[in-house]
Amino acid sequence: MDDTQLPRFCRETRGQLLALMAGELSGWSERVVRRHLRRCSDCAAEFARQERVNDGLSQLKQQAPEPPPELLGDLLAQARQPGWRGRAAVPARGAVSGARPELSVAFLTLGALATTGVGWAAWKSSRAAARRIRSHAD
Amino acid sequence: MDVEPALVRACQRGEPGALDALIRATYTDVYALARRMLANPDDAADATQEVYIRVMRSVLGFRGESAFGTWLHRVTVNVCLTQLGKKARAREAGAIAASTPFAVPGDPRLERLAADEAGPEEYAERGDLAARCEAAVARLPEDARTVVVLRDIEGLSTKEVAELLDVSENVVKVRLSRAHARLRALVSDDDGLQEA
Repeated sequence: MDDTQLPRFCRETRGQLLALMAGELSGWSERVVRRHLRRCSDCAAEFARQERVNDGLSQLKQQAPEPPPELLGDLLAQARQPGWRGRAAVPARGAVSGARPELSVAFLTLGALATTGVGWAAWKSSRAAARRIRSHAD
Repeated sequence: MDVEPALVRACQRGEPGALDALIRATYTDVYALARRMLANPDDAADATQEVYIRVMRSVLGFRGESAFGTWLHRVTVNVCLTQLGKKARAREAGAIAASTPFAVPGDPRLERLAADEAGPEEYAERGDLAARCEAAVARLPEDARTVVVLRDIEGLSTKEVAELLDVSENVVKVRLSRAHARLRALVSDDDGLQEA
């Protein structure tokens, strides 16, 4: 039966089953829910099912699914031969995070040189443009 | 996922063999979490590979503010959520149906597919409550399964699950309650319980 078709009290009780099992209900709420469970066989059966689900999930915690046998080999091969993104990303992250200070210095030096180069080229081209404008004006 | 801080530092220094040792120490836990969240062995293996690609890229940036195991757990959950999102989008676009070739008799994928789709009824014959629960969890909708795996199997608190999924704690509680109602229906044991 769909929960929405249940009597209100049964619906509310079933909504509290998890909290009841987790010991999260206060004294009064717990007494109300437990009293209903004693009187309503459908809700008592639902509570028993919830206990089985909880038992099953607890057992599941202890039984981790086994990885396929080839997975470890694949992972180790991947670690030894990272793709170009991996190869580029590791030193870059190391430089940014400061874990590889020599790379940080190299990146900063390269950045400064590149910025200086771009600035010098822009200054030269603006001077050439100014000269052309002056020669046209003359 | 317990990892020695010394091993993490060795990986950050790029010591030979350190990354191999890290993978050997953690890959079964990473795979198990991915397998439960994705409910598919092939997807879980792909997700595990993606996790270690991210680890290789990011291990130098790991500053040890939390335990490495917690960080790896978070990376795994994020990779799985990304995969679930991609699958959901692909399903919406009908891309999976279009890209899955027909299997012919004798195709090993058929066997794997049959194993994946063994439902609670099949497991009931084996009388194995944990296996039935696992099958039932795999049948849950993705958002419900994610909450059950993180909260009930991985043992995270409601607050931690809410933070990981970027939703409120109330949303987690509602999803968990609905997921358990569905689990009760899936795992219900016809012998005895219905008569109770």
